[in-house]
Amino acid sequence: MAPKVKTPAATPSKNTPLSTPTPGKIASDILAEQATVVDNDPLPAATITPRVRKLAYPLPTHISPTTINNTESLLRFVILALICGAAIGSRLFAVIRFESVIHEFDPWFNFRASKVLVNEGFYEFWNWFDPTAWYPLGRTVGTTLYPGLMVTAGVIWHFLRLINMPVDIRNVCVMLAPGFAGLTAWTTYLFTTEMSTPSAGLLAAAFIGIAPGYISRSVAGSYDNEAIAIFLLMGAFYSWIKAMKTGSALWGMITAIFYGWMVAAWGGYVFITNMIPLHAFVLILMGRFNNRLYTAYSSWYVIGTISSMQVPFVEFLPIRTSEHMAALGVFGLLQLIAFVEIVRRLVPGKQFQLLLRAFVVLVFVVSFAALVVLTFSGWIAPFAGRFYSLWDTGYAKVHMPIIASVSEHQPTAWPSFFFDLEMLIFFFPAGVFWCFKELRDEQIFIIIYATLSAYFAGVMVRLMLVITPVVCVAAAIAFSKLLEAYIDPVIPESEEELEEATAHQPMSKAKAKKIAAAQQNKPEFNFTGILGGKGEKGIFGLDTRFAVVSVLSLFLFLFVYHCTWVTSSAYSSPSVVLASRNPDGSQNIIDDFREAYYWIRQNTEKDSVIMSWWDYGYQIAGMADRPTLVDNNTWNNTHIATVGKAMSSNEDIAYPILRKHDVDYILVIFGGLLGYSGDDINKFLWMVRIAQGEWPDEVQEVNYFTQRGEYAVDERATPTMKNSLMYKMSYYRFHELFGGHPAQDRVRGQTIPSTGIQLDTLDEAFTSENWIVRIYKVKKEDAIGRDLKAVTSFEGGKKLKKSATSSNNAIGGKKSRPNM
Amino acid sequence: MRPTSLLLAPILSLIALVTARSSTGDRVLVVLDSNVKKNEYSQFWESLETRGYELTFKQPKDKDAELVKYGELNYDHLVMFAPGAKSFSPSLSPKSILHAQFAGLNTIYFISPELTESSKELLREYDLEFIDAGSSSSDILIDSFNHPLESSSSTVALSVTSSLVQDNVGEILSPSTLTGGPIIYPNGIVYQTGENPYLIDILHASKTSYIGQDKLLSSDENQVEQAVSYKNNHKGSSSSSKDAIVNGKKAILVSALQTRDNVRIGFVGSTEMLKDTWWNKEIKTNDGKSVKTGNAGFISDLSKWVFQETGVVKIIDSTHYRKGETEPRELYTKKDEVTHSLTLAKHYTTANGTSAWGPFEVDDLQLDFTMLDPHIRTALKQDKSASVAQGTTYKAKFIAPDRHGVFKFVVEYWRPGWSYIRSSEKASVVPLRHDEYPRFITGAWPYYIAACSTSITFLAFCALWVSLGEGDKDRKGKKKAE
Repeated sequence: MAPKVKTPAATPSKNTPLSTPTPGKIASDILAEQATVVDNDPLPAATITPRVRKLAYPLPTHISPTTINNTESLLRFVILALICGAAIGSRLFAVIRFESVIHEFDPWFNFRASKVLVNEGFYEFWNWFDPTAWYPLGRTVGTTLYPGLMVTAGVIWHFLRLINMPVDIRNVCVMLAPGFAGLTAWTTYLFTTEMSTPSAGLLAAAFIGIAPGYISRSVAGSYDNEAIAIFLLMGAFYSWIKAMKTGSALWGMITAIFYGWMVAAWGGYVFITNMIPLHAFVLILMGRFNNRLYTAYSSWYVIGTISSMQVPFVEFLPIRTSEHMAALGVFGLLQLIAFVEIVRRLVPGKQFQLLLRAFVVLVFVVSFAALVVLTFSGWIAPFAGRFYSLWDTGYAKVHMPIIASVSEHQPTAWPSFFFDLEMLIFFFPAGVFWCFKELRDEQIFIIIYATLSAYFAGVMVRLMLVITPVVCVAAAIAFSKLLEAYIDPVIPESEEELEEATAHQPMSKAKAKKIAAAQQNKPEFNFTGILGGKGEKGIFGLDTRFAVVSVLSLFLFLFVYHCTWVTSSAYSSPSVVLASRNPDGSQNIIDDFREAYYWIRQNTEKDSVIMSWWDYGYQIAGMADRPTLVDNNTWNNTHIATVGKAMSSNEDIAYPILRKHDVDYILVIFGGLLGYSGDDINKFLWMVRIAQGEWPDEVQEVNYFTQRGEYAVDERATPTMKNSLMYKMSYYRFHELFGGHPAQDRVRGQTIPSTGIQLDTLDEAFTSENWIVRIYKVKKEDAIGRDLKAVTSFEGGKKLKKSATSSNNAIGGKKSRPNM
Repeated sequence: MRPTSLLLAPILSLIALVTARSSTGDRVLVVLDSNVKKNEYSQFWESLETRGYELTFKQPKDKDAELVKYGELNYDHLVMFAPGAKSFSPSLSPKSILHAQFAGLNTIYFISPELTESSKELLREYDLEFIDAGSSSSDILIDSFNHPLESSSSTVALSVTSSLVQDNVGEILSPSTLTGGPIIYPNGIVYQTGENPYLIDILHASKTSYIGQDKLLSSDENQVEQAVSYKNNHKGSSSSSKDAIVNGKKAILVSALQTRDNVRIGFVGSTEMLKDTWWNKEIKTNDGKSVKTGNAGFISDLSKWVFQETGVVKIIDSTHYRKGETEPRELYTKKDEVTHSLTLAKHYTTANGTSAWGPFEVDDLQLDFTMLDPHIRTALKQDKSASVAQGTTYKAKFIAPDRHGVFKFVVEYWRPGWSYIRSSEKASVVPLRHDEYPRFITGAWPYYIAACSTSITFLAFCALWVSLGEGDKDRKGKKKAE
């Protein structure tokens, strides 16, 4: 609902309408408002003093309120539909530029899981044990993932088949994120409308539709949990506000359904789990407890918690981890307060005071003691590591290099706020200010949300996603307040005039009539500013209005331009396929990843195990369909550290590890030829660090730096570095490409020594066109028991002057069991 | 075992049945040095031919002695009888021989003190080291106490009881050889075997033997001393560390090697021991007794073993299944009772000289159920009830561990003289499906009761509320008024 117009209703100006300036969405809102007020006015019009408002520009008068209403809702609908269309459309760059392909890393796993879901049915999906992941540990996928995304895609796929539209599941997966972005725009509209006016809602919808902060996670092909999570987040928040406002258990249940879906879809559901209780708690502290809050919260908490416990991956977490304790505590507090309220109604005052105090103190002591006991006895798990890293950004780097190694877990740089939100980030505080100004229950929600997410977004790049909706909402509120103020045709009476009016109040009727007549005779609106040149004072002049509105429009245009540019240039790369520009401007597609993955698919045994750094695990499983040692589901730090150790050790140490894990091929990403900076040598230090976390005696980060503390790959590289498997695999035969010229690594900008690298335990199996992907085959043990170094030198034509163990033998060496 | 090899196995055994006694094939290439007189060894060639082998003789420099053609082996076995050859044609270069061996070529090297440096380099790849490294002329094994009466002390007679490495030869040599006459080792070289675990020592020097030069025996004592000490000095000068004098058990004369892929290679330190002179001949020993030499039996047994006639075991079938089923599964559930069965067959030669497969009975087979480390290690027991035409079935029954993951059924059987038995099959152990958990648990009764009682109480409360609430309209109205 629009805020009430401050001036009382009056007859609209009688002037022949000039053309209404601009579509005037807001103006029409006000008109409608006036109309309704007129309609509802119970008092006869004659009784009020006819006081005509001043208008800054003419408004049409002969339109009936119904028409205005209808037009308004039609316009709203059309605009919202267009916003949804824009939201979907701007996410299609990747599909148009490349093809309908799944992006990046995690989406490949989600896609693979979705295929299992639609091909083998829900129960098989639920019980899916994947022996190819985390070889040989395997992964019980069904109970270690958030199934919401796949189930959503599966339902859509089944529905499309039902209406005779057989669509490939891949296309459903690719288009899911844009589709849900459209829905997000819609829920954001609803949410903002609850906070402010529908016009603010439309602005918020438009903002969220194209804000890069959200687009970064939801372009077509980015088939990740976040793709539907933001829709669910906004849906849950909207229905929570609705439930809290209306006190309806039905809305509480709808909140719970959104919440349950969110729990099934994204680990970030904890944000809702804590947002809603916090909101309720703040309301209680502000003395705003009422039965509506009680009903809404209780129905949400009970149904929501039960539904969240149906997700196998979550199971008993809601009652056993610290992250969920706030919701439980607030639930208990609400019961307590509700009970106290009832008692207060029944028991006389003095006794009540005593009882209340004793009761509250008792319950508090008992429940707190229970919580402490449970935590110490291990029933309630303390906070998880990822949670701590939210409070102490240095925590992960020290204790969990695996978490710190992910680029999206780094603290956010300030420019990325502007990059992702452009002008919205500046309007955001203004919006929050407006919320403070009104401070209704629902606006408190915005304030809490804004505060929390602003902190989180500063801590982790990844959580930019969480702040984006609230920034859009708050900015839209601020923006619409501004536009409203400057488009609203009503010119409020200045204080002098008001004073004058009050001063003349006891005047005779005649005088009053005279004034009224005079006013009626006067033209009700004044062309001012540039057009009129008649210095109507203050900021209500048309020139000021025009200036502000046009500046704001310019902002909007720039915002759209910026969003489109960011989306197109930064967020639409599938990262599976790379694109570059030739000197003549034409596009050059670099398809090394798929080339290599298909090579594996075509040329290796079905059960050959591929070792790579965990980043590529999902892609190998998805595109090459081969078992991997580690993948992006980084649940087992030791296993990842094992791979890290193999990569960072020399061949003698690495080879037994490789053989123990049945590794047949090793895949490394090398960008040195092309200048692709996301390659394994750049990630190498993380491998070292993670391995060092497990084997501090065997792998030491210091050994990979030069004496001067540089990370070098040229002649200055340390022997440890040069002998590491990763270095050898990356630069094996690299210098041969340059035919005698210095071999230049384009990522590091260093010259690789041209002394050949000798690989004893590996054979080069495949190198992609641009050398981005290199695959090595692990040699088997020598059939006649030589060590592989000896085999290489024999094959290289060297002759043995002495047998391998003759000197040992003379002093009584002992035979070992052969390695089978 | 891959299905293709399962299919191939009977076909291959059929082929073997009609052709030769070897389990792999009967084409033998003999690389004979030009200065070796072929007919001095006629009995040896004859013994091979009577066992059904087609012998092809080539010279070391023959260009057409191709071991591998178009990726296929041209011969199944190789006899390298060219210790003194200075150079070989490219097709017989060390590299091509090794590669052919990786592809399945069984080989016997007959070496002698004339062994050239290039041949030594190849043999060093197998981790053999030669005593007289670097010396130009030949040091040979000499035993003044044990030699046939009419021969010089360079023709060493080795007792089968003291010179054979008893732990290793049980399956390689036949019982008659093991108890037979002395093995004559004339003008033989001595070498050491390294730590290579695939090497099997067969025959070592006697206690009384030493290494030296034969010609010295006719000279005076002084020179003998010199010859013996010469070796020591020489060793001392070539390497800074003082090497021990290799003698007795460390001085290996005949050894064998079985590669990871069960390709067999033999190393015989003396070419002359094949000579017709020693082939099934009576000799007089030092103490005047007349005994039959063991050479024929020894060499035949060794060549039978190297040419895959004896000691060959193959896996006929390997499977695993759950209790009450017969087919192997890819997924087993935790705590399933799983049976792994393995059928092994031993190769033998029938009375009429054809190849056949029969039962292979041992009592020390074991099975590992492994994921990185063995989770279960249990004995594979012979299953008498299984009716297998050729072979013996072993079974192990166990309860799958309570740990999900990709497990391997691993059987490794590694005994000198037998083929390495190596079988590894992958199967996953998975957690229970959602509907496989027990439905009602005794321990959970408090929860069932709690759930039921809460529901009932809630319904009762609602009923009470509704019925009481109807009568309370007045009060409600009052409240509203307030």
